[in-house]
Amino acid sequence: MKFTWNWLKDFADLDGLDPLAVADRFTLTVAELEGVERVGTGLAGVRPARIASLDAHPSEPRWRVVTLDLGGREVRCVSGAPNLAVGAVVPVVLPGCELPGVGVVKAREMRGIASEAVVLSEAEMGLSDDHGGVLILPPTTPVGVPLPEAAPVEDVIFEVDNKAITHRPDLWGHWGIAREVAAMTGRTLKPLDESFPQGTVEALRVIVDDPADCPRYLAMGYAGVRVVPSPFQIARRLRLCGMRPINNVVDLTNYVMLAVGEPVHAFDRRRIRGDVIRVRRAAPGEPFRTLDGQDHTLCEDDLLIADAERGIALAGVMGGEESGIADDTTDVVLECATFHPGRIRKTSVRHGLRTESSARFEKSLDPRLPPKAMALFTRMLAEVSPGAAPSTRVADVAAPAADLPRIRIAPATVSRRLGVEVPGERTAAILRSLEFTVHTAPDGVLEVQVPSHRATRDISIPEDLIEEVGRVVGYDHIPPVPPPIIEGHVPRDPMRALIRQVRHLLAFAGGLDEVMTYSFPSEALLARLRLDPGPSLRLRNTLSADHVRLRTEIAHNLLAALERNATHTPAFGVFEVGRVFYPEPGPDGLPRQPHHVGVLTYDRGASSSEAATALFRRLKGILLLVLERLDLETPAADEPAGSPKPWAHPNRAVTVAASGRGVGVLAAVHPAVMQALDCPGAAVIAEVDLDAVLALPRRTRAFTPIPRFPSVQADLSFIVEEGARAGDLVPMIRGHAGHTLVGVEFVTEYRGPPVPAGHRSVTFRMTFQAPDRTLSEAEVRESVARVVAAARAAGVAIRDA
Amino acid sequence: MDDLWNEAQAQIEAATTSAALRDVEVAWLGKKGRITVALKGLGALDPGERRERGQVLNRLKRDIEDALARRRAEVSRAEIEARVRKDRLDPTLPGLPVACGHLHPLTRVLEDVEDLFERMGYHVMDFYEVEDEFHNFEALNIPADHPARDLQDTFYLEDWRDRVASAIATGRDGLPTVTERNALPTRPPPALLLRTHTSPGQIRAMRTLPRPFRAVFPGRVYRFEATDASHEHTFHQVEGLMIDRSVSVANLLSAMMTMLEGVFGRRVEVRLRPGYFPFVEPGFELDVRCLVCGGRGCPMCKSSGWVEFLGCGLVHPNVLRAGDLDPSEWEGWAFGVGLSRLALLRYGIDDIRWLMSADVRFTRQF
Repeated sequence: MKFTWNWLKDFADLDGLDPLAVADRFTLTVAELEGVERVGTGLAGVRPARIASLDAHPSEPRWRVVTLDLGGREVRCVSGAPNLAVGAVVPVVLPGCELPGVGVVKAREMRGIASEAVVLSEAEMGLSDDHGGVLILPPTTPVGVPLPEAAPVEDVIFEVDNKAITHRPDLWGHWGIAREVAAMTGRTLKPLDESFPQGTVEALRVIVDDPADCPRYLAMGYAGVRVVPSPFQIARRLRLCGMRPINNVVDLTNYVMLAVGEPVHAFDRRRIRGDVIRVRRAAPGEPFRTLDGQDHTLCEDDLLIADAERGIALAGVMGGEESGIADDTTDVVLECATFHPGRIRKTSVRHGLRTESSARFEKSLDPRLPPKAMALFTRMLAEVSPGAAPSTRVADVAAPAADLPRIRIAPATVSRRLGVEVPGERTAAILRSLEFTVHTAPDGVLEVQVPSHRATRDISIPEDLIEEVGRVVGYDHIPPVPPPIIEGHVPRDPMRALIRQVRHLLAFAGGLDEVMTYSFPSEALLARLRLDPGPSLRLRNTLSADHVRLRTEIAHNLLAALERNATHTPAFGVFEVGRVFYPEPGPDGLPRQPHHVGVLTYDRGASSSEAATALFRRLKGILLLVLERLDLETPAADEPAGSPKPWAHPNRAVTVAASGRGVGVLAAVHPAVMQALDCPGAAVIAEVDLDAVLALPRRTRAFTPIPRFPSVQADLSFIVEEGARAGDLVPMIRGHAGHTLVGVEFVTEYRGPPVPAGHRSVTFRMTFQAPDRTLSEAEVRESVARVVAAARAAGVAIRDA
Repeated sequence: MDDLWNEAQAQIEAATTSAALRDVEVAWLGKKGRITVALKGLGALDPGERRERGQVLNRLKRDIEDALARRRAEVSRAEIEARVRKDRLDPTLPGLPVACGHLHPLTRVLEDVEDLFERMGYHVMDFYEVEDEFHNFEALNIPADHPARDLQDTFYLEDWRDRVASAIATGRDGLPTVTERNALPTRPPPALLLRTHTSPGQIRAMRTLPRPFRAVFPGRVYRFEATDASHEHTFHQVEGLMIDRSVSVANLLSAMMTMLEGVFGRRVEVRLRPGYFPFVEPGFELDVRCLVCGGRGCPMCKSSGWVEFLGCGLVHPNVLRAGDLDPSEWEGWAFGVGLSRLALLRYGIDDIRWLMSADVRFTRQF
């Protein structure tokens, strides 16, 4: 919202203050200013001149020859402006004078006529972007003197961030801003006159159905109005504040709103049927056309200003098209009211009508403000439309005014909470400057009554007063003081520690890259891959049809990441740690939302079964390394997944477990999914529930003495069927090799002659060692022989044996 | 005998390679070496001469052995040096690749911030992303008709319990279509939502931690708003809270300065401005003196010299009450800062959407 310095001076004595310094202080004391701009500077070369005569241009019909009276001196110029009239006072610039942004003006000949001056529009003087015609100055403007002396064209515009004052209904007009500026500069706020003359005729009948919807409604009729353009000063101020002048009556309502912060509305009295105004809820489906020509279908939550028959305004939001001020309007009814803030906001949101009016009403306006607005309107109406005057008495329907809050606060509390000493008298003085009423009790405690303009929502507790004092004292005067020390150390959150370990292991041991994805799987992808995420939490309001459910696994998002990355990167491994969400009860009455880690590795070149196996085994290795480094007991990924995920290759899917409990899955992506994603090669996904991992027992590491005697290794190759589980041989080996066996590891597998077709040779390396002696060859041979015998007994052939 | 020694010594000194030295050794001390042969011949001498000559020969043998060892060391040293002189490396060849992954830039910023606060004695906590209206709004003094509670700002969840009930009742899955769902603005919103800020953690921390305490809770938050280069519906914040017997604005200011010093690795100038957040009173916007221009004015700070950095304030008494704390006994301050924004600032990322892009080319830069 924009404010002008000159307008503020209507309400407070600000003479001699530097507007830019005040602007800096305002940001630190009240609210952030988004911009500060000087306008109308550099116009000393411009002079007002009266148009003495207008003549046709001899050769160019669109132009006229203007004779200008500069106060004892006449000059001639040529202009094509449409709004020239004899007697009007207009700004002109003479050759040799400088105009900001244009430079030094020169005399020109315009088709045979020497033009010795230029008449100027607002845009040409940098006053606004209005270049529809020349600026018409008030007729009383002295001619021939420099423009800045003759008319208030120089000003400073402040723009306040609207979001910074959502909690301050009192700051939505110049009067309220002036109060703040006066308080922070120690100047005086001029009192706002509340009295206004009334007409003699009986007031309009005003009926308010529910005082909660409309705590205050004032209406008064005016007669003798003539609808014409607004005078210079009003039109100029509206433009500076970003509003477009329309006519004197509408402009005055806007002027009053910008001046005191209270939106008011003028109706053409001819359009108020039955001379009655009723503030009521709309009927369900009731149609209404707002003055911008849009049709709306209302619901019973919408508040309507109606006459005896139908709606004439959408309360607090926008007037009706039919009841607005017309060119021939002579009788006007002015509405000054306050409405329920939430109701106005909901209506404006529902109908997409965010207006200057609704923006103010939704902030909780002071119900004591409407008479002030009506007083200002009444006073100024005679200026903008000479002869216009109140015709009726005022109708004033008011709910009983709520008592103004009283707050007790000790000056010591103010000092303690701010952390800087503020004497009681200073606190009282600051509050008084903001129009609080302050009494000091005998015990020194301040008894503070909140003024009505701050009482609607803003201030109700001692902390609110501390803020008032703090911001006027200046937060820059508060020295930093370290908070008190808290004894003891804080325990580390186990989940955060686990997440960090997992991230670091996957990235720096596993060589994988971390990614982050939305908590919503892509519905389009799920549909295309025909994946069912299972029971899911759903959003009630969605930004796009693609994000409807909350993710139940990270794998789905990794498939999307696979598709995206495969277009530019032939091989990669990514992981994400994040929450997934289930529609089932979890702790604290919320849905269960455990942390998962999802991993995906991809190799475009892995087109053979062997290469796909290698990719699978690499991720298995990373996964088991991570589980082992987390000190889990007996981490394993050997057992086929009971019910493989729909995206998984059914024969390449295993359960990830530790301590015998499943905590996740490891599976190759189904070739059909790979094809649908248009990704050649193979991909493997693992997903582990970190909440489940956190619940598992961890082992403590203990030192084992380093063996003093050498170990002996022996390899043994078993011939097994293609579908057999080689890992199952390990317990058999352990069971028969005797107590000197200290380790068994898989070495390699081999297919091809002399291994029979449909079989493969699987080689294990056994390590033998004794703590007290060097083993003899015979001892090792004997152990190996026992394994061989056991294998043969179990029907497993041994290669090369 | 001296002649023998001189001859042996000359041969040893003349040998310049390990192989030549070995030949000399064999010629003198080998099985058929001259000293060996001479020693074997001692048996033919009479006892007196045998002892005398034996002593001489044995001394000679030791001398030759010593000389050989000394020369061997010299030769081998010379050989190594010769080899080293010829041995060259092209230092411009790269190191052999080691497979190493990368953490997401947000994680890097997050871990720095977590470590910083941990060093300062803060609890680092993790709270729910699906929250209820009470913790996200009411408990934080955000009244029912506050604009932030409108549908356009918050992702609300369908209540799954209703859905199950309706599925049972209708015998179908009972799920409305997207269009149907979006056409129901007048129905009162259900209690569950995606948290719009990390602030609900304030209530949960107050209710669980022993007092006094300091805690931070980072995490993912959600806003129902369209995305562009500087807006995301999913982003990260970190919330901080201190609860103690007596807490002042001066304490808050000090803590914020300490934190920013840790984040930026140097002292930064800050200022407090009035700021409105319903859950603090008084509430502040904290500005940092522009790190790009130092306050002279640049596009980063929109020529103001200051960059808005975080929101903070003294905890509102209503929030303390919601956290089961008596405002006459306990006071606190709280702050919230955008981690996503911090990451963008630190790494000069020009579009916030990169953070959630899952693009490996992005992660690999960090």
